[in-house]
Amino acid sequence: MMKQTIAALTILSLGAPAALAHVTLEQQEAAPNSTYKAVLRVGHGCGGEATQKLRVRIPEGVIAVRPMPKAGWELELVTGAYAQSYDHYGTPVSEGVQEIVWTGELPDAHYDEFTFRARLTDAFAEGQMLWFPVVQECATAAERWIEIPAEGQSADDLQKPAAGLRITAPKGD
Amino acid sequence: MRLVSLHVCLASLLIWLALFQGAHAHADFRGSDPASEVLLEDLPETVSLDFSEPVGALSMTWLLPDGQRHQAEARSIPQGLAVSPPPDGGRGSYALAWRVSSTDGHPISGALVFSVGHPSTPAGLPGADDPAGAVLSILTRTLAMAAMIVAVGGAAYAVLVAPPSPLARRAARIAALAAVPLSLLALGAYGLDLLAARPAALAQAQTWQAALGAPRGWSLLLAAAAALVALRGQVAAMLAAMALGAASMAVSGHAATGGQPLLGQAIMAIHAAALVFWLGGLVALLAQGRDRLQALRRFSALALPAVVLLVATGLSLVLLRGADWQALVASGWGRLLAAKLALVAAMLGLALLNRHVLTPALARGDIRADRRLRRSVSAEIALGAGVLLLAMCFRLTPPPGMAPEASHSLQARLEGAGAVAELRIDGALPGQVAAHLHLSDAQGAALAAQELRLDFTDPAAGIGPIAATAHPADDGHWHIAAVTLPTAGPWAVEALILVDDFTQLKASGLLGGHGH
Repeated sequence: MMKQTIAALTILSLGAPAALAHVTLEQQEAAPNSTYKAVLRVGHGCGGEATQKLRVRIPEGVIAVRPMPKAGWELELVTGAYAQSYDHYGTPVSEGVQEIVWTGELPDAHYDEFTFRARLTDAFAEGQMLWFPVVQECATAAERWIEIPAEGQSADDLQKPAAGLRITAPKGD
Repeated sequence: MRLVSLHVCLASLLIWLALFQGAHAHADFRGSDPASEVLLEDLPETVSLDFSEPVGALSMTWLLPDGQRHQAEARSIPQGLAVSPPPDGGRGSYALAWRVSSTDGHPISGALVFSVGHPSTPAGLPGADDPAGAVLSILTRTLAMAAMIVAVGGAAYAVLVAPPSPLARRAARIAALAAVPLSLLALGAYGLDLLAARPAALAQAQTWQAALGAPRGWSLLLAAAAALVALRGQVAAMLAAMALGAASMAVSGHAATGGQPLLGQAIMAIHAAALVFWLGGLVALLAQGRDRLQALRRFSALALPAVVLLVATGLSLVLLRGADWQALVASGWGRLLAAKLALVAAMLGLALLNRHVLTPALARGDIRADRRLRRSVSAEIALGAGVLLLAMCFRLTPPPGMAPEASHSLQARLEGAGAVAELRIDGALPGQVAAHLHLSDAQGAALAAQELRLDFTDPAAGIGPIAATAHPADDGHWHIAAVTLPTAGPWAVEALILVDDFTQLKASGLLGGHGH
């Protein structure tokens, strides 16, 4: 019994998620060369104010981005050229979505999720962290979830970490 | 058994999910009452800190204007924490160093600084908050420099004047070997002085880092190196030792911080070299047994231009300040200078006595002349030691000709991945200061930014971060009109640079100490 308790506590302590009123991704691990469904979880507004805009920067190497429409929210895509060309099922792709903007209203007391789908190219290595900086804009203030941990630092050390995604081993194919 | 472990797993999963769903966040500090940086007429009766989420107080400490520390009590109120107001510590700046834990257990810390009556100003003399520390630092520094002068001056004497007597050779050798431990001692004492710490702090790396962080600290290492190089006794080694010795006196101090630092330092180096030759040579001359007459003549021939150089460079250093004589006489710096000049005049008097009365007497074979000469040279050396001590005391008081913003300005270079910030602080620490920043990227090109914030932390005093938002100016620089830094530092400064909506760069560095 003792052993199981310790094991369970260990799982618990290892698995305890990072600060959760941060803007975070629901699924925090994905393989390279796969299609990833990103669900951004937003737990509160900017110090009491309602969120009016949520902006996500798409990191280099993430292509074929398609946001999921959301009732009550307007969608806007900012596109631009990639730093390099990526292969998308045989078609070279050199430009695409670099920012998604949702405009609407999310009261401070409410929780919501913002979804998009994207292709993670093979530009990523196993163990690498991929960061999605998010800016939450309210009437007068903004919350910037854009901090990226320096070498040897953990996202837990940061006040406003960007949403992180750990790249796992490629799926055998 | 399997069922039990399944239950445990389920239970932990539930707890995990509960944690997951809970409002686990870093709390944000939203403000305080009184607000940061305000100037109050009287001590506040209540103090509160406002946070975005419930927090628990971990530690609350008041730092009072008189330097005292006082533990504060905190209790939860709906908006955050109510903190017991500070006890009366006189007029000046009060700092509350707070550390709280958010619901997710993450500690966050910061400092609330406000002033009563007026912001704190540095006491009259840098380091005056702990005069004992400054005195120890000056005494050990004088000893280290004296050892270097005897070693390097002795080497110069051996090359330029006469082969030194065995006694003189031994004196130079002992001085050279003593210069190393003395320099380290002086370095430690300087670190203690900088941090206003007790001798026990010598065991902490921080003390030594603070000392080595300032030119005044590593100039001591130059002095030790000069003394060691002088041991080799060749012409080239002597010249190298002389250059190192002169540099050790020129890299720090007011010569290096005036309006024309390079010119000031160059003149100071010549000044120092002349002093080393004269004073160090006198020690070797004193130890010269037989053949004193010949050595004396050669030394006089060389000492004369050295002394002329010494006086001329000394005078130019004063003129470089552009100070008017009235201000000079009225200032502490002027009085120190007057005392130093009086000692130098006495030294010159003795030198003239040696040259024009005692040397001819010795040449005539007057038996008493030798003893009188030795006494006179000893007195000259004693006066020289006094001059050296006074020269070291100049650090206690800024020269009057120095523009106020130059004497009360600190600079720091903040560096980070992709960004460099040149920071200038106008005003003296502790106190309310203004900050100016120039941002550049790793290649040195100007860096445009949307927002810029500085976080100041004094790790030794446990205060900070004190956050200050900078505003852009027309000239591409960034300014902070007023931020109160309640200790003399050194302060660790971190610049948070918002380059675009999604990119924040960080650059950090160390600011100050007691400054110069």
